[in-house]
This record gives sequence, structure tokens and C-alpha cells, in this order.
Amino acid sequence: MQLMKRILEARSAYFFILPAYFFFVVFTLLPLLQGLQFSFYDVKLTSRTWVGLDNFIGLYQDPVFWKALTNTVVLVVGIVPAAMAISLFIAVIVYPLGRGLQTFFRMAFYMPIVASGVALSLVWLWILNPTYGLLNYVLGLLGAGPVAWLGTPNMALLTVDMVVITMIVGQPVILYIAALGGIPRDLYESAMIDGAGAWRQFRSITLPLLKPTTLFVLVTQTIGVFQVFVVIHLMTGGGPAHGTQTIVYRMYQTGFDFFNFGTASALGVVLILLVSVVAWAQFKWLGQETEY
Amino acid sequence: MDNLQRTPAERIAGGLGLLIVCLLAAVQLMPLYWMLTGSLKVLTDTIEIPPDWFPTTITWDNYKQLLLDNPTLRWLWNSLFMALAATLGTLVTSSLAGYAFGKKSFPGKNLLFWTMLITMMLPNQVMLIPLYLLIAKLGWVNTYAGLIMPFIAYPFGVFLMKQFMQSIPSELLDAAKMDGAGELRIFSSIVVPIALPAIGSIGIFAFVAVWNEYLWQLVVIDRDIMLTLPVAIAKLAKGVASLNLGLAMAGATVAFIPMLIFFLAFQRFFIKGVMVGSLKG
Amino acid sequence: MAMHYRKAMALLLMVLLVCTACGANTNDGNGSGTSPGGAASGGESDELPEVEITYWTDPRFKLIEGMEEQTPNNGDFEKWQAEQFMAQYPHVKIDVQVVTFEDMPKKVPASIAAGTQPDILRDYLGRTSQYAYQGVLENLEESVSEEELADYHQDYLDMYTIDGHLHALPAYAWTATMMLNREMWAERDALDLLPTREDPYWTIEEFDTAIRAVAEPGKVFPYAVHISNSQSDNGILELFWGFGAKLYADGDYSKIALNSPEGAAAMEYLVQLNKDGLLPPSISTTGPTDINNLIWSGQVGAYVDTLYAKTKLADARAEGKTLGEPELLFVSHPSAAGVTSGVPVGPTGYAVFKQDDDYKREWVVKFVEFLNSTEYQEMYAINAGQFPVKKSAGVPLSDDPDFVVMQQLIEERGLEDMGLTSPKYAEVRELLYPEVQAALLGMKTPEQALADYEKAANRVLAQ
Repeated sequence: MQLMKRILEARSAYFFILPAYFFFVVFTLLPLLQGLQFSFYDVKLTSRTWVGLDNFIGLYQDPVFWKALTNTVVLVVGIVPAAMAISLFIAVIVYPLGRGLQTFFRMAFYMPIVASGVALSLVWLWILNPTYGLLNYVLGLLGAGPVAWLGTPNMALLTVDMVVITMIVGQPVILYIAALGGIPRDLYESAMIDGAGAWRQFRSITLPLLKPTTLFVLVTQTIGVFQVFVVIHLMTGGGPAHGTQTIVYRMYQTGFDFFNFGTASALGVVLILLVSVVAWAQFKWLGQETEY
Repeated sequence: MDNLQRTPAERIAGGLGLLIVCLLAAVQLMPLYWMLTGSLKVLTDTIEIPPDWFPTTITWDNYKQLLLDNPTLRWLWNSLFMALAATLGTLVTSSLAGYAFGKKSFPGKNLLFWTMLITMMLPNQVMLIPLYLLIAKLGWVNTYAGLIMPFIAYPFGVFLMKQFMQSIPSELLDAAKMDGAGELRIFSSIVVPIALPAIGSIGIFAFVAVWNEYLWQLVVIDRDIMLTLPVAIAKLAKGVASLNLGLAMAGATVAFIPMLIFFLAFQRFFIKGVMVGSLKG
Repeated sequence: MAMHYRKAMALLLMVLLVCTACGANTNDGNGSGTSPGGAASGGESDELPEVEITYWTDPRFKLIEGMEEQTPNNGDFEKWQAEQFMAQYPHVKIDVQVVTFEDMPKKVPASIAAGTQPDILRDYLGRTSQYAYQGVLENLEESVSEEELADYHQDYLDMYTIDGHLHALPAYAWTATMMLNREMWAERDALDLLPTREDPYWTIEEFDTAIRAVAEPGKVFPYAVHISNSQSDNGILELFWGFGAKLYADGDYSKIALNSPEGAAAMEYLVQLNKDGLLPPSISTTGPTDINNLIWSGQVGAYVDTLYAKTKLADARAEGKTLGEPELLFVSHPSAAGVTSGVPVGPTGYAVFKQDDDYKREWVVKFVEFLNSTEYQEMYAINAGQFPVKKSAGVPLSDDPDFVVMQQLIEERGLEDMGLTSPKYAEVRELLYPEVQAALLGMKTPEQALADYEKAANRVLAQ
């Protein structure tokens, strides 16, 4: 009764969230739940049969699945910290520059986000081509190479890593530059009076005060990297020898190459578990610092 | 931070840092330069070693072929319409919901908010197959509705909007309430004007996000005429017998230009907007 | 307060309406082929009721001889064909969609699952057979006329018969064999190392000598095999067959037979060629488009391909994509001592998805028969080097010496089995190339790679 009353009192609030929730439930939540359900079925094109955990057992026995899982983790662990460190570095260097230069660099680093992943993947594919690509030519001028950028599993994974980093650093660079502007200058001034050098100032003032930004960047970038698809789809197709296979790409292949929607959904469930664990850890960390 | 007060070692480090940043910027811009010049190269020049830093013979044939032999303008329109419509929808839904989550308390608020937030963390690809089946059941395969509807609710937008709304002083709203203003009135005449910067930036995020939702566009559209620009370009570029790099680059350029214009026009919002999300709650 | 809620509700409704309206509009505009509404609204009484047919096709023909202006792109020819039919039967509306080879195996299953499949699909046997096993295709022996069927070569009808039913109407077929760029040997005065059209057979040893004679480190990689994805897997299979290995033993699709001493020998040979720099760098990730470019620029001399390669070369020449004067020569794939390996045929056909309207089915089948008319059979042969499946088409390319050589190979060496009609074809074919890549990259020994392939494939086959 008490609850009913409170709900009635707050009815305007429900009204405000209704449109968002309507679309959210129909086009996100329900499909998500159905995906969970599919993972326990053998989903044929025209029929469905309950198979219990068979899809998951199949994954467990499939070496490609383990490869995809490892690669996904390697991509997230390899890209997210690197992208964050690089963007922080860029921001710290660019922030003290004049307005014009700052704008130029901000745009330079944001540009790849503006250009679509499709366009960039196609250009990179050309630049990285082993025979007529620009990069190997430049390396040749420097007396190095040629490198088979996408030719071996480890190299291809590293290349994908680097290409993805160039595509995502823009946002954190802008964020960090903006956040640096929000740090009161008198903090630095008093630190300087205490004789702290630039590195000490960075360590004891800049870094701690950037923490909220860092956490936000961490969460959004992690989500982004888990979803990397276009680069792999257009540049490597998950190869060579499954070297750049990821859970998301494998899911796409299993669903749309093998018409195996059941196993694809099982892969989706694994991905959900993986993301949840990471998200939980990150939010736990977040929760200590900021309120949501 | 003043240069005058830096030690020589710090200045050298700073200079070195700047050099590295310039190099990194070059790495960022190089593909775009290569794309633009590549689109003006004749085919034999695109696979030539050593490559031409500038196109030796400039040709517009790639663009002619792209625009005349293919419904490229229609593809562009498809992408633009899809992204604009979804953005509009997102803005309406997330500002309404963000306001409620940010400024109101009601039973179930946390549950409702966290459900949304958690799915925000999940890759869209997980929903791909069931969502496709749903859209197909609704008869929306190959339609704008199929492209747009799944993106009307944008959890990230709700999240950002909530963050922003929390920063609006409650006194302002209370005062309006005292004056007898209704809920919608308060929302439209007080909240929305204050939230305009956030609306602008979320709009941009949503636009970019929807524009780049490649996998969904790939799956839900199979009619040539309904393709979105990125999918159509990828299809053209990976065409049948031989890769025509110049054509692919022309396509990539055409896909890039609208986004570039969009970015330049709303640059201010981008920069401000990016901050919204990282505001302390 | 209540007023405001009503207003808000109205606003929300409006948003929803606008959204759904734009969805509905476009839906009407493009006419979903499965909507039965179109058929009923026939209009004038003496006219036949309208029929809407959706036709999905793979990209195959462009720059058709004599109508180059009208057919610069893939799909133009098929649209033109549909227009011809529609001009003849104005009550029929045909929507033609070209789907790329890459998207085809993804879009079609998805559309079947969602019930948005086309009426007609022109695709490769290896794929139409998969849909047949799902039970979603018409049995064409019931609706195609007997006189029409009598005109087909029986071999092709047999190949298309699954569980006693004709699951699709064969349209044309390719065969693939070793293709050489003669120019590269002519330049080096080494033509005597190659077989001739008159005697197209050679051994692996002769092949080995020939390719090593033209190799130039870092510049000319005489032999290429496509292993970057599952497409054109006949190239790698022909190497296995050349060593005497088989994919399946005697049509037994329950297990893989490739993991044999002969199979291992083929794999070892390929690994050795790669080590010796005789394959293009990064061959594991080199797609057909790049291999074609290498052939056209005189950097690759030997590659398994179909007669369609001649059309592609002519197009490339017209578009200025060639260096030098590549000249193609088709001979038998080399084979080891004591092995007489045959060639694969890859037929493409028209599959008709299950129809619940007899009247519509009749017109769909009529259109399919139209697409397979003798006149078109000849056009398919001339414009894409495809072998006709109907007797009435005769031998449209009898003056093409390469066509004649292939015909000879088929007759003298017979056909090899790629498992196109195995129920797990699509899934099994995805398994071989990653293992070949692993062997070439030195991650696995050839034996290990083959054993892993066998294990994975048999697991799929056992499902």
C-alpha cells in the first residue's frame, strides 16, 4: 500500500522514462533474453530443439573458441591501457600549447573517429599491403622490412591492435585536455613554491585529479574494444590461422557462415559473462570514487 | 606549467614530447591523406612501387564511376536519414529519461537505471540474431524502420543525460513547481534550455554511433537501393574480380565528407559534450 | 496535471506514429515479395492477376558482349533479363537483387530464419544444397515441365537431386584447372618447360622445374593458391587431388579422407614451396583480388582458375589494370606419379523457395525456365566461360581452345568430389583453410594441421 502510494506520487517520473524504456525493452532487453534462451537450443533455420548445455560443451571442445577468447582478452588488455596512456600523454603535451595548435591536435586525433571504421579499414588495408603498401615502402627506405603486417597470427593481432588504437584515442584526448583545463592553477603554483618539478606535479596533482576522467575513459574504451568488429571483418577475417579471431567475430561467423544460431548465442552468453566480470570490477573501483 | 619556470631538462623532455605527438598526429592523418589522394589516382598508380606521394595524373574517373554507375547519393541519403532520425529519437527518449533518473526519486529507480546501464556494457552483437528475427517479424527488413528503431533507445545517452541533469540545481525546479508549473512545462521551459549543451553533444555521439553501426546495417539491408553508405562502400571495395583501390578510396572519401562537415559544424558541442559524461555525479 | 499527461501521451504517440509511418512507407515502396496482397488486387478483369517475384542472384555477368554500354556492373544483365520477361508478361513484377559472394551465405540463411527469403535464388550448388537439407525449397521435378527437363544433361540433374528431389534447376557450371601466364615463361625462353594444349598433362616434378625457372626472389612468386578464406577452395583441393588424396572416400560424407599419406605429401610440398619463396608473401591473407592483380602484373604465373579468368583479364586490360601482355594457358593440374586426378565442376542453379500460392509458383517457375532458355545458356557460356547444362546449347565455345582443353580434361580424367552436396558442406569448408594457413606459417607441422582438420571436420560431420 505504502509502495502503491509512492508509485502513484511519482507517476510523472515513470512517464518520463516510458519512451526510452519502451524502445529499450522491445529492441534491446527482449532480444537479449531471447539470445540467452537460444543458447540452450539447436536453432535450425525453421525449427528449434532444446539441447541443454550442448552448445556450451561444443564450445569447450572447440580450439578456435579458446583462441577467440584469448584474443579478445589480449585485445582488451593490449589496447585499453595503451590507448589511455597514449591519450593522456598527448593531452599533457598539447594542453599548454596555444589555442590554435590545441585545436589542430584535437582535430587530428579525433578525425579517425569521424571517418568511419569502414573507410579507415580499407585505407589501412592498402597502406599495409605487403607488396604495394606505403608502410613497407617507407620501411624499405629506412632499410628495414618488408613486414607481413597481416601475414602471421601474432603480427596480425598486433597490427589490429595498433589500427584500433589509432581509431579510438580521439575521445580520451579531448576528454583529458578538457579535464586538464579544470584543474585549478593555484595548485601547481603552490607546488612550484614547494619546489616540486614537472614530474612530481604530474604525479601528485594532475594524475589524481584526472582520476574521474580516467575511470570514465576506462569504462567506455573497454566497452568499445569488446565490440571491435569492422576492423577484423574487413582487414583480417579473423585470420590468418584464427590469429585475429575474437568472440564477436566468431559469433558472427558461427551465426551467419554456419547458420548455427544456437552456438552463436552461446558465444554471446560467454561474451556477456566476460564483459560483466570486467564491468563489475571496474564499477567497483568506480563506486569508491564517484557516486552514480 | 609556465615555460619560464621549467628546468632545461624538462624543456627538452617537453620538446621531445611535442615531437612524438607530431609523429602520432601524422600517423592519424596519414590514412586520410592517402584516402583523399588515392581517390584521385588512376588504377595503375595505386599499386605502383614506389608509390606517388601526390597523384601524378589526377583523375576524376573514380568519382564519376562511383556517382554515375552506382546509386551513391541514395546510399548517402539512407545513411543520413537513418542517423538523423535515430538521433532525434534518442534525444527525445534520453532527455526525458535522463531527467527522471537524474532529478526524481521513485520506487524501482535504481533497478530500472542499472538494468539499462548493464546492457550498455554488453556488445550489441549479442542481440544481433534475435533482433534480426524480431525486425523480420515486424516486416522491417530492408526498411528505414529496421535501421532506425533499434537505436531509438540509447542507454549511453540516458546515462550521460542523467549525469548532466544531476547538475541542475533542484531549487530552480522547486521554484517553478511553487509557481504552479506542470511537470512537462518545467521540463520544456526550464530543463531543456539548461540541457541544450548536453543535448547537442549526446546528439553528436548518437549520430556517430548509429552511422557506424556497421554489422546491423549489413544484416538488416540487402536491397541495393536501401544500403547505407559504409556497407555499400565496403561491398564495392571488396567487389568481385579485382580490387579497384581508387574507387574504394573515392567511396571512403564520400563516406567521410558528410561526417567531416558534421564534425566541423558542431565541433564546439563535441568538445563540451565529451565532458558531460565524466562530470562527477 | 492530468492535462499535461494527456499532452505527453499525445506527444509520445506522435513520435511512435511518425517512426512507424516512415517504416511502413518504405516497406510499401519496396514491396516485400512475400506479401500476398499484391496478387489479389488484380484490377481489370481480363488481365491476369499481378505477381511479384523477388530474385536474388550472385554477381557473375557484366560487360555482356554486344551490350557493354547497358551492363557495366554486376546485376545489370540480370535486371535486363527480368525486364525482358516483364515486357512479355506485364502482370509480373520482378525485383532483382545482387548479393555479393561474401554476403550470400550470410543473408540467405538469415532471411530464411526470418521468413523474408526471396522467391528465386541463383547460387552455387554448395549453397543451394544446404537450403535443400533445411527443407525450404520447392521440389522442382513437380513443377518444371518434362520437355524442359529432357533437354538437360542427366549428370547435372543427378548432381542436383537430393533425397530424390530436384532441389534447384542447374543453370551453368564452371570447371577449374591450372592456369598459366604463358608470357612469363616466354620472356625467359622457358616455354618448353610447360605442357601444351595438345598434351596438357604434366607431373609435379615437371611443374616444380617450371615454376622454379621463372622465380625471382621478392619479385616473381610463380605459384599462388588461394587460402585466405573458404572461397575458391577448389584450388587447394586440386593440389591434394594431384597428389592422389581425396576429400571424401567414394561419396561417403560421414567422414573426411584427406588425412592420408598422399594428403600429407601435398601439404608438405606446399609448405616447402612457401619456404622457398615460390608463393607470394603473406599468401595466407592474400585474397583472390590481390592474386588477380599479381597475375595481371606478371608476378604470379600459375594459379588454379576457371575460364572466367579470361573475361576478368579482358576487363582488366580494358580498365588499364595490366602490366605487360599476360597470356593465359589452361592445362591439367600437375599430378604425382601414378595419379590421374580429375577436375571439379561447380554448378550454379536456380533454387525456388517454397511457395504457398500455386498461381505464383507457376510464374516463378516460368521465369526460371525463361532464364535458362537456350539463348541465355549460350550467353552464359560466352560471357563467363561457363559450361552449358542443356543439350540444345551445344558447345557454344567450340572455337575456344581453352574450352576444348577443359572439355577434354573432363572427358579423359573425370570429375573430382568437393562434397558440394554433403549436408555439412558450408561448415566443413570453413575448416580447411585455417589449418593450411597454420601449416604455412609454421605453427603446426603439415601432419598436425591435417590431423586437426580431420578431427574438427569429423566432429561437424558427426553432428
